[in-house]
Amino acid sequence: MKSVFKNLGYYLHEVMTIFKLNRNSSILSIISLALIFFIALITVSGWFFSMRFSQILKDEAEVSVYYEETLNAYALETLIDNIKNIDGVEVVNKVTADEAEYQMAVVLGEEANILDQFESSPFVPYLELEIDIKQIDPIVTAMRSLDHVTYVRDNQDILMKISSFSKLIGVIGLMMTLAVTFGTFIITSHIIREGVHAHANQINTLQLLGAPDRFINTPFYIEGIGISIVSGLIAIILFAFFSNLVAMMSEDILPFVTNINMQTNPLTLSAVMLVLVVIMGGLASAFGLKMITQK
Amino acid sequence: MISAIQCELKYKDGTQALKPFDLEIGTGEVVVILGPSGSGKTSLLKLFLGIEVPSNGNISVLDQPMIAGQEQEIRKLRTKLGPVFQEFRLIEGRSVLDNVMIGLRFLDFTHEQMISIATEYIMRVGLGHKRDHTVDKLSWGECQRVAIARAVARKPKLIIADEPTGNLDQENAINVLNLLASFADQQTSVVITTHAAHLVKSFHSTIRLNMDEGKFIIERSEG
Repeated sequence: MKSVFKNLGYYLHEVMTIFKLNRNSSILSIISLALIFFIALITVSGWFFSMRFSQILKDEAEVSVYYEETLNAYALETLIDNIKNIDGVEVVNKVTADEAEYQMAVVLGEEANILDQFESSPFVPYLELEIDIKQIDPIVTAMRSLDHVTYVRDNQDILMKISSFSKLIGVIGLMMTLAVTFGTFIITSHIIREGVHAHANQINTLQLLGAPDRFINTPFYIEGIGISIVSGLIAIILFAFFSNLVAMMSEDILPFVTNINMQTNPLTLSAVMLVLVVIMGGLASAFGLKMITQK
Repeated sequence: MISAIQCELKYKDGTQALKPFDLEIGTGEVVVILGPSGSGKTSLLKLFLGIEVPSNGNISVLDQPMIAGQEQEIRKLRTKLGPVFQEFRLIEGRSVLDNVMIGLRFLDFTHEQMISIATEYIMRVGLGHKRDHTVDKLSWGECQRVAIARAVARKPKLIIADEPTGNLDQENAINVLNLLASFADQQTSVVITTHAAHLVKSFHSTIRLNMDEGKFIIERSEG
């Protein structure tokens, strides 16, 4: 470590020389890596978002139970007690016809005045159940077998579709992550190999003077990691703009989904990204050097 | 310092670079290896530097056997050697000081010591006024002096100079040989190859290599 600090000026000078010798190639590589990292960030954040979105919808999984309108108060309380006794049912709320109309008005937003066109209210009272989504099938079956229940509505289909979509995004995210990893490896190790080729004589001279591999390789590691960090930072800046834009746009698109934050924590994401690019840059540099020294 | 017993070097393509030979070079000696081009002088230096290992027989430099599988040990050994290459192998775009310091950077010197030692040897080779010039702008002879300063600044136990008189006129060639020889002392030996026999009359010891008629001859004479 002492020798690293002692020779830091030399290493940095070497890095600049290596960079200058392959200036165009290095700049293009930085741009390519930055775009790859940017795509990776979008994919990974899209993956997390879809998982979070799916989880929120699952948390809000509801079953609506409609009953005979002629049911008196006592019979309704008995029905509620019976429903509460079913495994997986967490909360049972009574929703009046007026409340049902209000909920629909909220969903419709500016279009809510269409409800005024009805001569009489089409809404009826019902019971709203919060349940454990994993037990939705037996709950719905049990519900349908109860007396006075006329109709049971659940949002299982849409939840399943969202869940499948999340899995699909997850697979795409994984594939993209793998592609990004390989892409970064190939590009960074290629840059390092170019640098080594351009400095073959110098490296050979250092070897003949007895320089240890650590001394010879350090500038190439710094270059590989440096290029990865610069690319990562560019990608993070691009992603910050992108996620802000998406967050603004999503406010209008998804008004009915509460408690969802479209923006991933930029500090956490930046830190994770930088750690990953440092590791990746270092590994790719080692790979590039290994390939060239094996020749 | 250097000990070779029935040492032979044959390249992978079958070329016989050096036929079996015995050789002893002691501490503090100045040895000039003479021979025409193609006689095997550079191949011999490659053995000394561990660039090649003998195909048969043994050679050891500073007690380090030069054999395959000892690459790391040979690399360490090279820190005790001061090679002056025929083509100099200076680092372009760098100053004279940087080029001399490069041979010291991975040794046990502080930054200040490196600058001080490098400056001292740059002055000893007569380039003090060009310490901060880039080597690209130096003449052939000046580059050679930088290469010598780089080799000797690390206070090696063995200075190895490959054809340092090439492309130099007689006066400069003798100056370079004398300069190299001046670094020999009780701890440092100097081995120089040259094809210019007339330049080395004043040297203590001479080894002549001759590959004529396929024979490898070592003639050792005390000067």
